[in-house]
Amino acid sequence: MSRESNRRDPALEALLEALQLSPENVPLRVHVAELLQRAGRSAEAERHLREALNLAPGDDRVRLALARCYLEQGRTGHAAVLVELVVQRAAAPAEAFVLLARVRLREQELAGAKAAFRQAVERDPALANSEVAHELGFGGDEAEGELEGERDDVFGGRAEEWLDGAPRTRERRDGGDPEDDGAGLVDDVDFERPKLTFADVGGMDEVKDEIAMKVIQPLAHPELFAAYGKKVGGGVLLYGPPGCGKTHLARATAGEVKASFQAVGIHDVLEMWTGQSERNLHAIFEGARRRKPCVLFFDEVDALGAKRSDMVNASGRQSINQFLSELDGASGDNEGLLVLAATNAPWHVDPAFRRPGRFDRLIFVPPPDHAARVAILRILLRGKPCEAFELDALAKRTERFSGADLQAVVDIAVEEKLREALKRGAPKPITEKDLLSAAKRVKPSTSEWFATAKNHVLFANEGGVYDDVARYLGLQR
Amino acid sequence: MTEQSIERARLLLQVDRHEDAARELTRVLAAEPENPEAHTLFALAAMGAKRFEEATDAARRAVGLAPDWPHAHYVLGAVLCDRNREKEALASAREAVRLDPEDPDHHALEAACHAGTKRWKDMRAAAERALELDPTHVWGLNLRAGALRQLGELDAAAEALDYALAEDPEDSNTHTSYGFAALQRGQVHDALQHFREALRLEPENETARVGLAEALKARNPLYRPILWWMFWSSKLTGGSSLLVVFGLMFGMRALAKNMPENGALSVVFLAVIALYVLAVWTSWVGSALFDFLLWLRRDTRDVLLPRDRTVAVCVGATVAAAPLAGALVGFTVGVPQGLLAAAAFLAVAIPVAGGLSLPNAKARFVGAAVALVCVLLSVAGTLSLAFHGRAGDLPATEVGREQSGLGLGLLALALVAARLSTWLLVFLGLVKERR
Repeated sequence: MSRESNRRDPALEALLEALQLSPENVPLRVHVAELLQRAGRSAEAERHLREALNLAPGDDRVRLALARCYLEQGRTGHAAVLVELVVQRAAAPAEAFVLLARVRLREQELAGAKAAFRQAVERDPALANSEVAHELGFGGDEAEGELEGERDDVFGGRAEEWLDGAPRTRERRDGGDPEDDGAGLVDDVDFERPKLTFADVGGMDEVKDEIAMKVIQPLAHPELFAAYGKKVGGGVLLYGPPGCGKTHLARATAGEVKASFQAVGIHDVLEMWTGQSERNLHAIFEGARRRKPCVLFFDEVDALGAKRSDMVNASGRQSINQFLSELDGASGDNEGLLVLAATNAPWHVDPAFRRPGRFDRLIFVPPPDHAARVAILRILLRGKPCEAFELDALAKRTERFSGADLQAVVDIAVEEKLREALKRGAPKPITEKDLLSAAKRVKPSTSEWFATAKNHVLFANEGGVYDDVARYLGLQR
Repeated sequence: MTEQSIERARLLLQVDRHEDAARELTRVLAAEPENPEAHTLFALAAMGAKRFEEATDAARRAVGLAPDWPHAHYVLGAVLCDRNREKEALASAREAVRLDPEDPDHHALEAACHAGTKRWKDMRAAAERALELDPTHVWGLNLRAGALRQLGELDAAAEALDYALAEDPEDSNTHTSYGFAALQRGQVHDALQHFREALRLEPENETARVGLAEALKARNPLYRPILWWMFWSSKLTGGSSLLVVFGLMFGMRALAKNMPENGALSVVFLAVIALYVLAVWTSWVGSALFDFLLWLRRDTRDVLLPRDRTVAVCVGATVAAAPLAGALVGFTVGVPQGLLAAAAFLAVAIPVAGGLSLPNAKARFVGAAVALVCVLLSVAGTLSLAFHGRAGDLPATEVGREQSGLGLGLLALALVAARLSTWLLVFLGLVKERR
């Protein structure tokens, strides 16, 4: 493909030829990479930028270009590593802070984004009212307040995780060595201290109680649990349909126990498999051990903990073994370290993961219950022109809806209302009827999950591992 | 970057994250649209996500980009085979074999294609070629056992499956094959164990679920002749099954034509014809009726697949309606009319069972429409007669005769429609499920 495209772009082809003649010309390589990126060929751009970074490991311009490339590819964690290396320097340019603000926004960290942008403005005051400021939503105090207000909700500013079903993991990494280019390797991990607690999670009382009994209370009263012969420590596996708040609950759990929190997402996991898995995994666990008490959260753990019998490649099996060894504390003391994991497919998780001391406690996180749905709907409707009505009827009508499904309901109702307003030339508020009729058009996305889960409950519920799902589905006899 | 993405996609495929894998590969293909490996992986991901058209297109693109790459032909063959397009699939499998005859998977795919067209000897030969290259090839062992089972070599099939299980005791498909082999040999208990194990290992294995339902039904001795018939008829290709159906039908017609007027021989003739009618009715309705019995029990209800459950409930309701309709009309009008109403519902159970369980979606739609018409005719006929009786009009009066005539006419029409529907259903049954 690339050759064909080059033929279409003679200027780029000429530059690539020039690069072949002087492969060590870093500025030229960066320029070519930027052109490639603009042409949508980010994979090639990345290759050139990595090459440039090899040639000039300390070059901030190259780092920033590569960070931009990663950000464009959605690899926020990698971008963050590089930008953070640059902004550590006293002479860091304003553009580095702008890029950092973009990274933080992508990570849903508004406070961090604002701070980064403020530093950018300190270095270049012209940025204050620039296009960039407006693009980022920082085009004035009013806009700033509005942006933050939208996200200031009963979920402690993290309702988005309920809504889109794609938990956002923090992928920020510190480069241990300032000279390290930071690309691909995890030397250390940046942790957060969530302020979110169970009080910020609407509804879900049963799940919260279960987490409290299985996770929080054993940490708060170890001697009491020991007296009753209940063990303390080990891991907890949260499972349930996608988009139902597993990550949100994990973060709230960390907030409850006032521990540091680090989320490791599927992309980190997959990169471990295709990269230096043992070293990366060890770095993550070591970082957590240094910040005890700490909650380490592995999202979509089935991608890491897939049954080893299913693994064709040896590196996958090796990663699993390494993970198990870290869980067992073979390579460090796990006292004070709480490992949480979440999965939509607990049946794909290697049984070795569920042995005592590992993820031996399973907690089913069902779709939001009535109270949670009311809370989510209230957030989704905030700031929208609505008639005054109770949300109970809508919450009742949307049983088994995930956060994303509820978002779809509101979106449909809003679209209908917009269409009507454009036709009539006068806006009308959203009514309960609009939302109820929109709810009829949305099929709960959790249905598919429950269809699969039902098969596992019926035929593979060894040791009653899926009894909670059976109860939820009314299958328990 | 591309290599890493491809490796990630492979890993995602291994853990059945087909949509995630497809997304990863879409990114790869945006950067390298002429990467045949990415196309083959995308085909597999799309197949897993049940996006069959996309899977076929991707596999075809891979073949177009790398016509000399045997794996591309293999993937295209696998996709087509999964879509029940065995003839095209066989061509791809054979091309893969031609390009790389040393890969046992290619021969196994060829065997799988023969299974779809019921060419059992060819299936066995291809499976054996796979096993010559790798005697521990579990798929090959399973295919060989399947072919042997269809060829009636049940002991050899069981031996092959023993070997496959020794190789991989955690293979759900092998347990499923073992279950069917055991069922065919009349070892219901063994069959139950293997189907349960297959489902424990892979709860979404629908074939094992069907097998478990069959084994549960086979606990009832009355069901075993039906099961025997099902195993026997499953060996027949479309043409042969038509030959059997029409052969028996014309044979019985000839018997009825030449029936002696009286004497012991006429009783024998009548008994044979009655038995034939019962056998025909049971061959259409029996399985669904026993499914209905499973459905009635809370502990076995969930074993049925959703579609089988629907058929079972509809057939059960139609058959249960027969005595009710018979009693209603019998009491209000007369016994002969009551018997006719009951017979109409029993006959209509045939299009209900046959029509709703057709494999092809379009054919099933037609079958369901025919079944609905038959049911409506029976219900209308029954109500018409019952209403006439309840209204107190005697058949001797003019109105009564009209009413009675309409009801009887509708029931007779239902019987004729049910009879005619069997021919239609036989032909519709030949239409394969296309995905």
